Amino acid sequence: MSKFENVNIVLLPKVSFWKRWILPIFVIAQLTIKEATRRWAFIGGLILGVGMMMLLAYVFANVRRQGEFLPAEIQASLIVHFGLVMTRFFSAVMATVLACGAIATELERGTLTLVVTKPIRRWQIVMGKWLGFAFVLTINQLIWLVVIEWGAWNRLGQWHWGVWKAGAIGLLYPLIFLSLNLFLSVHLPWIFVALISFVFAGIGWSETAMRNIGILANLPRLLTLSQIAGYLMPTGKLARWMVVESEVLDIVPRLSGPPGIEMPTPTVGDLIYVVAYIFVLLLMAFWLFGRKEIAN
Amino acid sequence: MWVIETHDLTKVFRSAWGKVVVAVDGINLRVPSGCVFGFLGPNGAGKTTTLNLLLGNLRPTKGTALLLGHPIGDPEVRRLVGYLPEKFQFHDFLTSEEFLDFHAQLLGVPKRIRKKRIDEVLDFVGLKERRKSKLREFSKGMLQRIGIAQALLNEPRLVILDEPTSALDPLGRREVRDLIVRLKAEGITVFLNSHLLSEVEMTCDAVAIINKGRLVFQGQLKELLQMPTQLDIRFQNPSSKWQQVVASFGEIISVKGDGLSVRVQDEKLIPDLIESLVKSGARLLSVVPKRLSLEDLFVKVVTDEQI
Repeated sequence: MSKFENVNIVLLPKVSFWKRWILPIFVIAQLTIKEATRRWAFIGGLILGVGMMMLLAYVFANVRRQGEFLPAEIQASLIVHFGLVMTRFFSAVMATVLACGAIATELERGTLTLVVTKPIRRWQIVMGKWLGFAFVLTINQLIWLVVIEWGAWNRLGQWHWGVWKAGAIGLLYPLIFLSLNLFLSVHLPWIFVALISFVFAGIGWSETAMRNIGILANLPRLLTLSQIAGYLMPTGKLARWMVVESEVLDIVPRLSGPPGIEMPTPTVGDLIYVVAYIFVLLLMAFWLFGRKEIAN
Repeated sequence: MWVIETHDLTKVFRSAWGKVVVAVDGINLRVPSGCVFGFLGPNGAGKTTTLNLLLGNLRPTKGTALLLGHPIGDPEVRRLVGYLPEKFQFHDFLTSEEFLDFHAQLLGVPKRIRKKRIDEVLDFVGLKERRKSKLREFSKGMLQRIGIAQALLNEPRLVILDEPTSALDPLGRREVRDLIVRLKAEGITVFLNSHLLSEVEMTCDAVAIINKGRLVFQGQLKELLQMPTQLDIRFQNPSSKWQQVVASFGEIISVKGDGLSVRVQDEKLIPDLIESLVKSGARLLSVVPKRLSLEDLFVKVVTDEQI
């Protein structure tokens, strides 16, 4: 006999597949977009990025060598190359600022307390937030790409398609940081998440530096460390793809390393690894948040 | 019929340093349908932990529970439950209408009736005129009311309110109290988690008292309030003889000067007690029945004093 007696069993309403599994994700995503686009971190970051890229375009358009302006092709390549470097930097910072307090901090503040008690699964909350932030970061990055393209077009009088090919791959860049931040934010307060995120950015950046020093000083261990860093934070893999796709290597051949050291050729495997990296972080965030005990 | 039933529900927290805290200790709670149920306890007694267990925010260490006949932790059962936590912060850049629309969508309220339902709940909490106002413009009382409105969007069978009046001024408290009474009138079971005993006394039909994670009382409020009545008797001619007479009717609590206090099990015994005293020759100056308030009873229960 059941230990429960005289229980009032109320029939649950029938709910469609869409309403149960898909709609909640989009509802959360929609609110995330609304919230993110209202934040100064987003508005300020967007304006700062646009301003910096316009300044970059102005500076490279006016650089002189021995009293003469650089050829238009080189000016355009410099604008594209450094513009893309800046999009990587700013998009990483923006993803971190937006997502570092997405879960634990929102629970602490109380803005997520009501949401978790609705008929919604925890993974749907994470997915919704991820989609919302990803949308905002993508739009933001597209605006920056338009500015870079404008700078290059201004010099060449024609489209520089490399901006868009590299830019398309570069859309993954903030998603790495977004997924990392969401995953960390399940348990940690925003300040620790942001800190760890910047440490990881450093690890990603150090991959190339360690590799270059390792080759120059003939230090095999440093080369191994460089490889490990590349797997821990695959931003370098993505950056190399962007350099190749931006079509500036012919004109600006040595922007990616010291003389004598060639940039490793990026492989499709690198891209697959980056996508898998994002996917695994997201799955781990689902799992962690699903197991998290909320005692508000 | 029980809307909530728990069986040996237990929650133990273990810190990283191995410290064990039993927040909820094997409680067997039964909440009848259609009533306002007060869940009382001092701070740290385990009230909010119990709520979090019922809502699936925490996993029980031991025991089971049913919410509207369905296992706790099933997100689908929350389609029939409205909840307002004690500690909340709304997205204050939203208007009250946008805020309610967001929660209605999460609850799966169909699009065709969503607007009508939002109108209804805004009307119910008296905020219909403020539908276009941003939440940041709201007072605490208004926020509490909009919080209650979101808990009603899905026409719930059970509404759980965690300390709904703790941050409010007397006027705000009265508004929330009136809302609770109206919810009951509409046949909705209200589970009220509170330590404001006057509120509970005014609104609840049944109560449960939890202390140190254990359920120490559960039953009708009437039943609790009908517990022993205290009588303060003063004599013109005090004598130990009268004490013997009084003792045959109840437990003497104290003897002081020309008077004594006695606890009688039933109010109906008071006329007999007076008659016996008068017949024995006692000259009474006053007989003052002192009904124990919920607060007195609560203090007695949680301090393990015998009622």
